Amino acid sequence: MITCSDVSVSIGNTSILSGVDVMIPEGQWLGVIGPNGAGKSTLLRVLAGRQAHSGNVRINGNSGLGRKRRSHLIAYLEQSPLVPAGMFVADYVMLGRTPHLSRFGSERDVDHEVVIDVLGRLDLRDLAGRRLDTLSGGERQRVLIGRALAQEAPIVLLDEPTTSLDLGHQQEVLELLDELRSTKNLTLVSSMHDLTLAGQYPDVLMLIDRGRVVAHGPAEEVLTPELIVGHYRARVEVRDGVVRPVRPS
Amino acid sequence: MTTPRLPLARLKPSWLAGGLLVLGVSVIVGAAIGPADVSMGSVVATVFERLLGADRGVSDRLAGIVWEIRLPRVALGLLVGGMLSVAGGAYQGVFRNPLADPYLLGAAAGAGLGATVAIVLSANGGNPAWATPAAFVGALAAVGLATAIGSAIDGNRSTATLLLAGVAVASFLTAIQTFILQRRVDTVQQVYSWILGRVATTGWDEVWQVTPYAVVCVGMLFWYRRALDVLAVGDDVAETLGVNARRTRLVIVVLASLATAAAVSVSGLIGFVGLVVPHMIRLLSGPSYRVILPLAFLGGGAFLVLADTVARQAFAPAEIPIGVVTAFVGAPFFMWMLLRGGRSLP
Repeated sequence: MITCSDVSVSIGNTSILSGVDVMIPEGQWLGVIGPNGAGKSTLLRVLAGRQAHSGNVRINGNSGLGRKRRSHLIAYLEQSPLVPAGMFVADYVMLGRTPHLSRFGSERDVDHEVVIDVLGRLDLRDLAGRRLDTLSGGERQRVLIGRALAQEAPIVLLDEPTTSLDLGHQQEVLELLDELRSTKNLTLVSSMHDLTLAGQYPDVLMLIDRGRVVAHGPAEEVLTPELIVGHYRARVEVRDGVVRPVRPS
Repeated sequence: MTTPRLPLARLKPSWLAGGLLVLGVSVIVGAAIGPADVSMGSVVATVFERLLGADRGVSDRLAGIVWEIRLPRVALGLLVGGMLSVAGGAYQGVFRNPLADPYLLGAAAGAGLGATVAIVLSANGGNPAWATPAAFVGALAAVGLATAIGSAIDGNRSTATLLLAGVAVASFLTAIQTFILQRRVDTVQQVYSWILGRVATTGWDEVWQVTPYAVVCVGMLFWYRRALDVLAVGDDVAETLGVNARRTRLVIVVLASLATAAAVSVSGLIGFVGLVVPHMIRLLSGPSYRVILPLAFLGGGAFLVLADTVARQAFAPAEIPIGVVTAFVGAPFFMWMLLRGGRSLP
């Protein structure tokens, strides 16, 4: 469970996040939506412990977790992580086991088992020996998610996990996350751009704009024409939970 | 039932054996070639005689040449080449920059300036014991300055800015060094013959002087080789995997700079070893530092032993500075890397 109270982030004189209060219970999938520059990535960085902030973030009731303990509780997938060219898929996913290894130790049988299992779930077995720079966008994204899952942390933070994927691959990745969430009882927090998919997958959505939470609840309460028009400065209509852009007549 | 294992990038026994074989052959060739005619068999026999005490029938004169003159020089070349190469590999990992090496980052120039100051200040000339600590201070200061400039420009994100900063720092430090030498004409000859790079030895003294540094730096950098693989995915991800990225980076830079300083203070500025060798190995073995670092030590040692053999023998009895030999090989290699990777470098 994650609890944020009055979380604010300022860089220089610019306020990036202000007064964010949110409670994410165990097993929930929270989708964070909002226009470009709203503070979605910053919020995920705060939760990952990678962003200085004021206010309080508690993970399972603990605040101020050390790096090592946090690595056992939270896995974090950046929006555009460094992908070392030439590294092999199996080696990359195995890096996710780092929190479970001793400081200068090497991988044990259990680490191999976990990674083999993750590769199987993500349909990556055949790619284990491939170089990262030879993968397609969809394969690459699955490998990145694989690294986060190999960490075996109960909370997984994903910053736009479906960016740069085509619609089929977006669905594939989101279905997979949903399945893993139920089989492994993961708590997921993902920022998302596509409002239709945001309405379909997460249990709860949180709309932020200019660093403030403006709506938080089930999709039908958040994806309303008023909120979307007001905060995305877009022309849309919403029908059956589907946000549809409309052209000015 | 045994657990299935994944095919991970690891140092395969065959690669290790290959590396040791290359190094062994280089050592024997390096010790056999010289003005006096020594067969490779006599080199091996002498080593057996000295280490195991068994008489293998090598004449005292030949055994003396091999053990007192040739082998110390070969051993020093091996250690210096191994250290520069491991340091280069470590810098490349820490800065996520395939073109980083002790020379291009300014570390070697800083070490050279530190050692020069130490030599000039020591009244009786010679190579004072604190040349290495002084070189270490110089190397760290140079790397610190280069990375500070690089990060002020763009957070060291681009390959080019860090190297340009390193080149600027190196030029500046070399200018200071030249200035100091011009003011102290009495030591110019001595410092210049050293600064151009040479692995000349007087018996085993220099080897013993550099061995502790080699053991500590190379040994500890080997320990950090998995950490280098984790750093490759970025500081943010490394931190969320429980690794203290800043501290790890700092420890590795300090160790690599100490290795550079120890190498420079016994044998001057020898460029390109730290660039060429780890890079060749990366091309062959892939990007995992668990493989690169151990093989870089073996390959760097072999490369410098052979380069020194060429330096001694090509225009015998005159010697060419070994730095010239490594640059003859390394500079074209560097140009080839630029041509090959120029478009993909950020």
